[in-house]
Amino acid sequence: MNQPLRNALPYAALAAIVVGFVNFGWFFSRVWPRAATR
Amino acid sequence: MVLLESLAQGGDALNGFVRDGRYFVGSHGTYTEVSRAAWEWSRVHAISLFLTQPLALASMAYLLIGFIFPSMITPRSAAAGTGRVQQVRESGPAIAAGRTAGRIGMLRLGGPLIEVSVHPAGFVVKPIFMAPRPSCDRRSGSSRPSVARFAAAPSARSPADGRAGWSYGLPPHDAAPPGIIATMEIFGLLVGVALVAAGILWAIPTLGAGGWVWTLVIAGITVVNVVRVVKRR
Repeated sequence: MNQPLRNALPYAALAAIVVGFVNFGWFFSRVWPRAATR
Repeated sequence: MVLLESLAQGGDALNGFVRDGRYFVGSHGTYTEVSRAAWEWSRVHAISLFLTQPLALASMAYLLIGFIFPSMITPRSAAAGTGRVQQVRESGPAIAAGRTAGRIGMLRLGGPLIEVSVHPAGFVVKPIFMAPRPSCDRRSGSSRPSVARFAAAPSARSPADGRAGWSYGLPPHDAAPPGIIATMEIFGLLVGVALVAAGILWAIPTLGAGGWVWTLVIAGITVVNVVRVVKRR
């Protein structure tokens, strides 16, 4: 792997964590509120 | 809250079904009819979780093993390690080698996650999944070496066992790239604040006493994290 790509990898990983958390929160904000109050 | 309520449709398409051109989303056995567009979107979104969740988990493992743990071993930056490892290994065959528990810098690992080998010119300590660390080269004169402590008995299971065992200095090693640890700290605090907000806005109104307990626990963890980050800065 070349050096610029290597340097970008940790930031890409950080972005993937943020995307994962946001997507999870977004998805479950659709499913849970109505289902939980039923 | 309005946004959450308007988005809430009572389930997801992967747990739902299509019958006679009508679209239902499902959650824990209750089904709600929704429009086709909402159903298709829910399906795409649910499938996307199967991609983004493993990716996020793998990224967390990568950052922990690649940067966070090494920064706990030696906080200061310097590329001094690898040549010295080779030097120690080439000084002669291992006199003794084994896997054990111990503490390397600030990183505590249980047995058998640390691999130790003793050579004529020094030790090599390899924490699992991470680069090997050499014992400190006295001639290179690093001023404040980090310290590794590990148990003399390879059967040691807990980092605490390392207190009774061997101890030696480590030279500085590569540190995390700039901004990574700070960004993770800030992100962690944001997640904590978001969870507390979710507790106040959702868990307490809907779950009652359980919601209170949950929110107080999360609030406690968040406060401890804030104090830690503020102290370190």
